[in-house]
Amino acid sequence: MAVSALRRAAGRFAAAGPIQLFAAPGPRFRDRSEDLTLRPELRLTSSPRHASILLVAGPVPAECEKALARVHDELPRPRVTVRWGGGERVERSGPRLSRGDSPGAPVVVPEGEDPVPALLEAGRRLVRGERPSEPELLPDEPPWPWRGQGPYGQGGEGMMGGRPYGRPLAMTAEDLRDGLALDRLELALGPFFPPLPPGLVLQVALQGDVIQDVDVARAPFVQPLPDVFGRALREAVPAEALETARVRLLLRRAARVLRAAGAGALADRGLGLAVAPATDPAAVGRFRALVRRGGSLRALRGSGSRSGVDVGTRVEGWLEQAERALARARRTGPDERTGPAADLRALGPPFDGDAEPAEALEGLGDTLPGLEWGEAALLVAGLRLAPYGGGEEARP
Amino acid sequence: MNPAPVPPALAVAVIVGGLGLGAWVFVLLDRAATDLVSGRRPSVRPLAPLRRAAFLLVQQRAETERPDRAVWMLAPALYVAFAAVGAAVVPWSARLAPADVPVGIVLWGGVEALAIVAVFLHGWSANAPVALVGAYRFVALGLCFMLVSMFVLIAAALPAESLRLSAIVASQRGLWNVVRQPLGLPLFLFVGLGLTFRGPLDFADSADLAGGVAAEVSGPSLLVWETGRAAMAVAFSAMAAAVFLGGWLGPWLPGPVWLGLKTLFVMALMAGLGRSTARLRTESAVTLVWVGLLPLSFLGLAVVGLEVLR
Amino acid sequence: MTGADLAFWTLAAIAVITGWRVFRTDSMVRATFFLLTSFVAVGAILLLLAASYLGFALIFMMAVEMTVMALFMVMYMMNPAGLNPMNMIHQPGTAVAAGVGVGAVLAAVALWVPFPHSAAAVPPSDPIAALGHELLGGSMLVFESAGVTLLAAMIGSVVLSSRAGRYGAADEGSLPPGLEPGGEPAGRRPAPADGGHTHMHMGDGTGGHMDMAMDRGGGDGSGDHDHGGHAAPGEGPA
Repeated sequence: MAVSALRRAAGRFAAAGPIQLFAAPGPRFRDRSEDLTLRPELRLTSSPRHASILLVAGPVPAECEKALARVHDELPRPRVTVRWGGGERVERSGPRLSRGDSPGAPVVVPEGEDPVPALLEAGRRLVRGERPSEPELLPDEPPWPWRGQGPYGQGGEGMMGGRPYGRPLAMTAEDLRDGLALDRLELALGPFFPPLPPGLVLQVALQGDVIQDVDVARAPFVQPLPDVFGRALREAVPAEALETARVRLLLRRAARVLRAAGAGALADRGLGLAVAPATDPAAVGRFRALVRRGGSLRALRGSGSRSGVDVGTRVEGWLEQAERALARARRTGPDERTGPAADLRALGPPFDGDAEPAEALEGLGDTLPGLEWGEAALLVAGLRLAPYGGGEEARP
Repeated sequence: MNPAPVPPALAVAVIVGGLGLGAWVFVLLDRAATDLVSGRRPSVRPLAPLRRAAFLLVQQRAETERPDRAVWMLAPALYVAFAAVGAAVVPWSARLAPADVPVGIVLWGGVEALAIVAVFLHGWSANAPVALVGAYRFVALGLCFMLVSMFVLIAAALPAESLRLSAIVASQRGLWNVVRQPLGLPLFLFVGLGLTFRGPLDFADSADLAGGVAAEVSGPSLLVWETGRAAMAVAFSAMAAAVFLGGWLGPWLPGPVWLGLKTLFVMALMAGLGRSTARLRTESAVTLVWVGLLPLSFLGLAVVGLEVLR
Repeated sequence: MTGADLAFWTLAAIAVITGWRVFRTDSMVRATFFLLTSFVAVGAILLLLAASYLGFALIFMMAVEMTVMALFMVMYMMNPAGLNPMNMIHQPGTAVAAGVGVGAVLAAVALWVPFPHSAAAVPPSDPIAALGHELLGGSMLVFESAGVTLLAAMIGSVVLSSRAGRYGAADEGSLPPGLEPGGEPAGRRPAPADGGHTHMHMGDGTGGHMDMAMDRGGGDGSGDHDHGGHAAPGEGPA
């Protein structure tokens, strides 16, 4: 009795703080769910176990629903799922949360709306105890039963026969770098793993934290190209708008790499500049100086250089191009237009430094082995692996 | 004259209370540093860490498949306990010290080594791949920075001709060690960043590992873990204040107040450094320590030794 | 029974029980850290005996060593957590016999060997300085230099044995760059694969050095021939 009263009091006290959220973005929603990091009332976590809300943003395809169910069950109680912009399929499946609805109703936010009020309402009611937690979606039992056999119950002949719990013993294999034979761990890094682009599934073989083998099991979800660039491929667009959009894109990419590199505060700064309605050249200059003088570029330099892509140099290049693009935007008149570009690469930075996503994905099998985990995460964050899909006609 | 020992009950109460308060202040400093670096106006919200603590108490403790349950529960508690042991060696004033062992420096070295053990156990016992990778990435660096810490602390012990912390503080009466041994405090701050795995040395529970060592932890266990990280930062700051900034020495104000102010200063330094730089690659961090920092610590030791011999 | 006695018996019990658990637990990592607990208990007993430096140094060293051991368990052993219920015990009969035998010998030593009775039963005022003088005496500088030399030797041996050679991977017979860009590799060229024949040939001219190379299993032509400038520069592959 007293315990539950204390729990409710703690819940009420806690509900006034930021709400922990794990984002599982689907096609076309990566940027929008990334922008939620800038909201002070929300806190995007890197692990589902630290969150109380699972935000399913966008139309997640049916083949990823099982992975989504596993992520959902990893969230500890109390938990709630909020679906944002899933299209008609999801909208039909549940009513919108509004005042007076039954507490257990699924929370759905249509695509065009700002999800933050619904997220905060659902999250706060959950923490205060007014909304019951969602139950587990998958049964809580080991996926393979253990069948005991053999003199010690190991499940087969010989010392290490059988596969108790469905997991084979780790056997040694030669390390790439020096031939030392160490235990090899095989992992599948799923479609909603935060350091990877959403939708990408990698089968990774690790020795220690060095990647030995990489296999792309599923390509990342398509993400939208900013509107201005799409139009620039077909017609002449105002130069100022193009350069401003370019600055935002470059800053967003730099922020993504910085976040993967652990400089979350710097990444927030860059993302804030990318999202801000008016880009201030002084602010961009200060951001660049902070990144450079704080030592982040020096820390990043050399990452992935063995695979030919130096992430530090790329980020430095992006920041420099952003400042130049901003200067160009300031200089151009309001009526100046740039003609239609032949293809994406002709649009200039950052597109001219990008490989084709399909090529880059195939190249992962060659570039990632031999890198440490941290370097590999930085490399993946610095490459464009998600294909650009148009807006309305993109199929998930 | 060696300081008198404080009655054990009082010592435990003050250390536990001090670490708790210090952890709260450190979290506030950390949030202020994050706000400053990310361009937001730093707003001090004193209740925010307490709200997070309340949230974690309400959240369910996560389970993985076949964890090493006893060790999983024990490891964060051990980390906090080692922080408390490390903080207990720091003298409060000329006459008061909770546990002024004759070999305070070696005890701190033992605390560092055992703290590395606690982090490794925490990552191992969850029986999850991402946690294990975080754990042994951290150990790879831990073994390196411990060496740097030892040489830096020995160089601080040389002018005092004693391993006892109260003697080291007393030896700074004329000149603080941060001036006498200029390389000492920067190197020791590097060690502190590694010990609390922050900033450029955040190998244990970083975002690129989706939370690393703490990825599978939630609820009250996560609260103990996060408190432990902050408490270790406080204990380390107290140690740095005592060894390099003169501890309780200072005019007008009583000794413990000076110690508190200097600890606060080092905590602010750690919070700032922890948020302003990206993470080093494991390979370059290890290379940096063996090729750069270890020879520098030898050099610092030689410089102090020459000065003492003069 | 004073507080110190109680502490001693508790720590002794911890040391013995965790020592026993090292061998009875299936999880190797747990075994490693049970061993660490046992050593920490022994270190704490040393603290009770007023040997504070020895006690803390023991705890410090054992913590580092056990961490490295646990890491090696995870790297190499196939069942480090003991989750696969396989039999992890080999040669149980021999092990029991050896354990009982060694235990009996150590017990006999502890009980019947007359330990020296020191006349100076008063602990020294500065135990650490006394320990230092006792261990190192007047040779302190020699020991310190020896320590640094040992460290350099360890680092050097790791560097020399690593696969990343100076000009490429060491097991591929790396060659130094040429004196002119794109020119022949500078310095002595290693002999080709038919090394045995070449060794015989060059042994007439240069004597002792080539004998050493032959002794060192000189059948392969790749690694051992970079002696610097011992042979005449005009000597190429025979």
